[in-house]
Amino acid sequence: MEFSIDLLGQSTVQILPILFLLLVGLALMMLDAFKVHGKILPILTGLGLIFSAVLALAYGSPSSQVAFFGMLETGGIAPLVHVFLCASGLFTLFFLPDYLKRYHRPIEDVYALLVFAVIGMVLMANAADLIMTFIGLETMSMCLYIFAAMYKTEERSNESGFKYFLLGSFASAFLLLGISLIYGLSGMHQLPQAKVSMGSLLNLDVLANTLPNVLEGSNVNEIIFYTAIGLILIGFLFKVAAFPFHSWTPDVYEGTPTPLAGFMATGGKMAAFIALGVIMQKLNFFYIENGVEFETYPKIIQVLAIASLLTMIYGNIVAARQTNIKRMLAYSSIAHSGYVLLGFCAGGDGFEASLFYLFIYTLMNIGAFGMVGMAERQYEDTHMDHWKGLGKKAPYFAAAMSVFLFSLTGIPPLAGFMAKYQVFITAIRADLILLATVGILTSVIGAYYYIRLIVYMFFGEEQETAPDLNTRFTWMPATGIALLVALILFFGVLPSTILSPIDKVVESGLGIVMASLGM
Amino acid sequence: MESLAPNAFSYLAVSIVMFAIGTIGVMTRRNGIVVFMCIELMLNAVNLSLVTFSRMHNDPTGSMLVFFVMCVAAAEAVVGLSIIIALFRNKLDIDINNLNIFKW
Amino acid sequence: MDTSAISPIVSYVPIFILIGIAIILGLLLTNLSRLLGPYRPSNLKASAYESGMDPVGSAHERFSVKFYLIAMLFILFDIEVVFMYPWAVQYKQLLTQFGMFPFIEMLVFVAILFIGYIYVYKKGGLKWS
Repeated sequence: MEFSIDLLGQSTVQILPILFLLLVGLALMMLDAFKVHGKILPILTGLGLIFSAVLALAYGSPSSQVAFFGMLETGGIAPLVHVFLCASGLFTLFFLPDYLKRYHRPIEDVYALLVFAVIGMVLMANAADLIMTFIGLETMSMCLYIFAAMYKTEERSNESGFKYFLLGSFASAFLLLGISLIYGLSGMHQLPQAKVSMGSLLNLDVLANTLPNVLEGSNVNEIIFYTAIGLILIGFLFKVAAFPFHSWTPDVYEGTPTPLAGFMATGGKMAAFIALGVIMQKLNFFYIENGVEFETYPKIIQVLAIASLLTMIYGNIVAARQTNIKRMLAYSSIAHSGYVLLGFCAGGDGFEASLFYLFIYTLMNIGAFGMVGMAERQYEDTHMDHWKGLGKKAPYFAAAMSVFLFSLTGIPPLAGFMAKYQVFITAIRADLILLATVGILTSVIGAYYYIRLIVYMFFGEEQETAPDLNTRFTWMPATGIALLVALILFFGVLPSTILSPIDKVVESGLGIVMASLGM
Repeated sequence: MESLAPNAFSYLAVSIVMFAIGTIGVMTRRNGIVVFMCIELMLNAVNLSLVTFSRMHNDPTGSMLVFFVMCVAAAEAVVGLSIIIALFRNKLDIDINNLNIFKW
Repeated sequence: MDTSAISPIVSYVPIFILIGIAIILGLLLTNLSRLLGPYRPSNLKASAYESGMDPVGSAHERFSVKFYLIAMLFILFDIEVVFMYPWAVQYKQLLTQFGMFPFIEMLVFVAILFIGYIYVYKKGGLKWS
């Protein structure tokens, strides 16, 4: 791996999509500071996100390439990930301005923060170096903490922000300790000539070269390595709300402005999952101990499999008991984390299936959260009873919501079905029969609580308390909902339109590692 | 090395002890600000270990990461304190046991 | 000087001396006036000095939240120097290796900070009243 010192040339062009996002974010900050408010801010944000995604596709290459001293991956899966994360931000934008205007005085800083959060997510997901992973994670988390605590006069918002902040920074301290231990190990076996040409000992490619030599024949180093991986897993499993580290999720989502909770549950989760997946794939290597050949990934998979199993069971069972829609969606988002982890456990095509699942999940969950936000009677009042009889009062609203809920359940021909199908089929191919069976069974529990809401809407008694939703269908949320429903139907019928690009970039970007897995 | 010289492992031991103190503090203390301070202590413990490793390997990567961790810790302090102030203004209390609005 | 021959403890000796001098000087100066001058305490003299006014209330009052705001902004802008310091130390070497790029890069960094400063200023973060 060689770095070109052509700094103002190639390297800068490669990170142009992120530089552009940064410029948009700064411009939004300035517009806000100089009191230029109104519709222009969300529109500018949306255009910025779209243009940045286009730039990423234009300058990305199908094969892996790193920019900025080996810090950032800009080829392989990176452009596609960039597009997914920008899409997550963009779809949130459709619901955000109306929501903010309806209940509170609009807080215009939120658009700059949204852009910065997307930047953090992209940096984390596309990091080629653990330093960049940490910085990206913190950039994203900082914005999300502020989202959670945004309404500073609301006690609920304070509380959810405070909880998220304390637990989030607690988890990232563990992640950081893991990175530090990996760094301690990586320097044990120095390759002097390698050090000159490569920027950092924490570069994932460098680690993949040095760590096998370090682990060979040394029990102590092996213990340190798995401790470090365990600590890194804690950090990421917290961010994706997987089972032992999920407890913050419902409280934080409930106190967060609903469209932004959707953004947290999709963009933040997707970025953390992709970062975790890439790190685990890149740190997958063989090492020899006492003459026996060991491989790291299968050992990590055992932990992931347990986490996945418990996450699916816990998330679905607790979600079934909720009466507050937002909490129900929060627990169901825990359950969905379990399905994505299931894809990770499958190895081989599993990563692709997980990526596909994450993208589809983003579409349907942002839609669901956005519509819950539209239906709120007053601030954060999302009890299910208010939804009874909405099918008669606002038929379009109820129909669109039903599409999202059916898709989350996984009913054909919607995209959610294809996503679940892909994950389960790769799991079965990898002989994870137990996990796949539990996944399918818990999906049935999922069907209960999603469809209960649909039954409430269409067959429930009409409530006096239900809000007048027809006035809330302004062009922005209406466009967003129409787009999302169209995409869900489209990817449900023709999943290959997005699956084959994912397959292609994962094969060429992470292909070498996947081939060595032999699964 | 002389017997009095603190070797790398003493620094690592201090770092691990600091990290453990921080972790225990986060889990046992009830005052929000103290919990937050314990988290900062954990970050600084990791910084110490990073600097030690950096020195051991004679490689600047670790020191570089320390700069970023310091910066992140400062930003975290600002965001965290702002949230704590907002919470205190509304509740006049930052005891984390009293954060119980949300019920499942 | 070949520092590796000296025990690490020895290299700390100047710091210990400095700490010792500071402690002695502090103790000396605070007690010198009592030793040299007349010492006749009275109720009035023992009371807290508040610019000649009668003392009002306890000293353990809560600070206004404004102080926290200023302190937080200070931390934010203060910590950025951490990135400039290694840059400044290595600047000559960077200049020969990469040309003007490191300089421009730092300018961009400062520009971003400046935008942050304008934001804080415009949002009224620095207003005291």
